[in-house]
Amino acid sequence: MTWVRATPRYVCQMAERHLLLFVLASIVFWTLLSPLALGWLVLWLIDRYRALDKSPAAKRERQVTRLLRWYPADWLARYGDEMAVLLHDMIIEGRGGPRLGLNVVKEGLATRLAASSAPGPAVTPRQALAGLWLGLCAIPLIPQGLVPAVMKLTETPTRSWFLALYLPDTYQWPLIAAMIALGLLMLGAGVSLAATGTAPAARV
Amino acid sequence: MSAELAGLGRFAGPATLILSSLAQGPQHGYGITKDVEEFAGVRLQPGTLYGALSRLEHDGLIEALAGDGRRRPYGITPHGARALAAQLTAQRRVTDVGLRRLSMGLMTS
Repeated sequence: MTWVRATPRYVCQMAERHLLLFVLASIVFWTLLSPLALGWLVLWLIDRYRALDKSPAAKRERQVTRLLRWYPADWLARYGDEMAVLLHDMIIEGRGGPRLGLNVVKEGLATRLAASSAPGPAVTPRQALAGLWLGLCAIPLIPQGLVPAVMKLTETPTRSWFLALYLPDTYQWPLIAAMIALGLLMLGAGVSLAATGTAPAARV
Repeated sequence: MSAELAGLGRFAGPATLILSSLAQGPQHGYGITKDVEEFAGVRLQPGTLYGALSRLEHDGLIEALAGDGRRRPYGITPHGARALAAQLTAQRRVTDVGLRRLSMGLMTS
């Protein structure tokens, strides 16, 4: 696995060797390409603004659509149309200021929050177990398995909270392998339980 | 406060105004805001109005009626009328006591 140690060194050597090219590329990017891109973006935005229908009715329609986006879709399906009519009426009446906007945003967010915290269908023990395995599998797999493996390969002196790196050298790789295997096993069990747990619902 | 309206939490105040407005007959959203502004001097904002209307409809205190186009009128249900009566009676009791005590306090001072 010498390539793991050799790669960063090679990248550094290439950067040092082609420093001039790198600097030139940066100058070209920041002085030529990025202003061009920024200019193109500004022109595109101006073009979009020009294409907008600026009649009062169209402006009102856009304002109402923007305001109603704060509400969840199922709520809009029931009350969206009639609330849009009310918003149009209030804006025409000259009451479409920031107070109206803030009120709609506040109530829209509150409706979303209430909808998301509403109790859903009961969780079965199988689903709970699947959630437990899927939630915990990352710990043995990544910080106790893959990360210490990379640290050993790159000969990083830090041991931090990686259990395997505190063991005598002989036991480090076996423990890393065991942790990765445990993580994969938990992941597989979680996926399998989740798949079988949702199968009956999918048939309904 | 009546138990039905107390269950509406922060919408209890706007709900009392909306039910009072609907007590004279079915109205749509804009009509309710205008009526409430006229008899109570309160400008119901659309978010608050529809937050209260959805809760009232969910609790069976009002019902949506067939409307013309996108405007949907709402009417008060018998359950809503009873809840409003209980709420207004409780409010009147508080008003009577408060006013009596105030007048007694003004006379003694």
